[in-house]
Amino acid sequence: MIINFDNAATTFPKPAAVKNSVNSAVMRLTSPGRGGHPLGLRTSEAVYSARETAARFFGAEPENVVFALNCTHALNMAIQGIMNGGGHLIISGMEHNSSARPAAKLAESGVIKLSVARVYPEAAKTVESFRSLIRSDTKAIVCTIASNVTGQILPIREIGELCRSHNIPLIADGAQACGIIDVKLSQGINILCTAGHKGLYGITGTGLLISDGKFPISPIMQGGTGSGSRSLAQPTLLPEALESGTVGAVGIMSVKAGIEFVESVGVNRIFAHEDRICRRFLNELRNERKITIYREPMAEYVPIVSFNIDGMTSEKAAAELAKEGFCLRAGFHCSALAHSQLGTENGTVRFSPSIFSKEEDAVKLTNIIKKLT
Amino acid sequence: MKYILQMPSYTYGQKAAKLLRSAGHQCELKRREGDCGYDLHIYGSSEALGLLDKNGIPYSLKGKEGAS
Repeated sequence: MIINFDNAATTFPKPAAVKNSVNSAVMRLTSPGRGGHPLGLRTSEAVYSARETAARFFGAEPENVVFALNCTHALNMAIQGIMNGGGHLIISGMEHNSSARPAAKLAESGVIKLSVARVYPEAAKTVESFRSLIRSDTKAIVCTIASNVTGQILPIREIGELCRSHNIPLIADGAQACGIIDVKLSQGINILCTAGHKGLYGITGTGLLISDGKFPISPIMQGGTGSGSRSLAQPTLLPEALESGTVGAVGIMSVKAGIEFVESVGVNRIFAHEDRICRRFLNELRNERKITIYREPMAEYVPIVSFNIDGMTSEKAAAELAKEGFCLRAGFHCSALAHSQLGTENGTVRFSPSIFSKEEDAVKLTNIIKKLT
Repeated sequence: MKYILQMPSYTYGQKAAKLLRSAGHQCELKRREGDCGYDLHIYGSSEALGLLDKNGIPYSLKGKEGAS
C-alpha cells in the first residue's frame, strides 16, 4: 500500500486523461514550430492548442504562455530576465529556493540589491511589510501565492496593486496555488510562474511562465527557436524568445490534459475536497499535546499542513510514516527562508492531499501519528 | 487578392490564422522558403490585415498577388 500525501511536491496518481495524452503524444508528436511537414505541423498545432488552454485558464494571451522545464526554471527566467540590468528586488520571507536562490545569487554577484519582506498571518501586515521596503530603484517584487511549507496564502492582489502603483512587475510563484485556488493574471500578477506537475496534474519536467506582456523579459538562454534561423540574434517576441531548443511536447500535452481535468472538476471543488481532508486531519490531531501544527488563526491556507511531533525529528517521523506506506515530505522543503521565519530548526513534516486523496486514509495516517507521540 | 504575410513565429501565425478564420477569411499558414519561419497566405480583402492590426498581431507584408 502506498498513499501519497506529498502532492505539494508532485501530484500522484494522475488523471487517466493525462496518461492518455502522454501515450498519444509519444506516438504522434515530434518537434513543434520547426518544419513544414505533416509531423511538424501536427505537433505545432498541438502545442499551440496547449498554449490556448493555459492562456484561457490563467487569463492570458496564448503567445505569452512560455513552456518551461519546471517552476524553478520559469522563476529563474523571470527573475534573471527582469533583474539582469540591476536594481533592487524584494522577495517574500516565504519564498521557495526556486526564487530565493536566483535572487540571492544576483545579490551575491553584486548585480542587484535584495530585500526580504517578512510575512505575517495578517494580510495587511504582510502588505505593509512589502510597502515599507520599496525604494526608488526597486525593480520588481517576487512573491509566492501560497507557501510550500505551511500553505499560507499571501495577499497577492494587494501586493499586485502595490506593484501597479509603483509601475514594477509582480512575479508570482503559483506552484502551490495553481489548480487549487483561482489564479488569474488579472489579480495583479504580471509574470506567473508555476509547475505543471503539481496542481495542474501534468507530468514531471513541466512548468509554465505566463506573462501579461507588460514587462520585457531578457532570455537567460539563446538558441534555436525555429524562426529567423539565418540571424544570430535571439528573437525578442514571446514565447520563442524564452523557448530555445525543442520544447517537451509530450509534457506540454500532459499539462494541457491536466488543466482540462482541473477545469472539468472545478478549482472550487478541488479546493473543497482537499481542504475537507486537511480539516479532518487537523481535527483528529487537535487534542494531541505532543504535536505542533504550523497554522495561525488569522491566516488563510491552501490544503497543506505542516507539523512536528515533539521529541522526534521531521525526517524520523516521515520515515516512520513511510514504513506504513504513507508518503509525506520532511525536512526543509527547499525553503530556507520560510523555515527560518517559522523557527523550525529540524524542519517539519508536510501533509498535502490531492483530488484523489481519501479522507479515510487521512484518518488512518493520524492514527499512526498518534502512536508515534 | 492574395496577401502574403511574414509572421514572426509559428505562434503568431497560428493566432492570426485562427482569428481570421473565425471572422470568415480564408488563409493558410505555410512554411517560408529561404528562411526558417512561417508565412500566412490570406485569400481575400485587406480587411483581414486591419483585423490583425486591431488585435495587435505583428507581421510584415511580404507580397500581394492578383486583383482585388
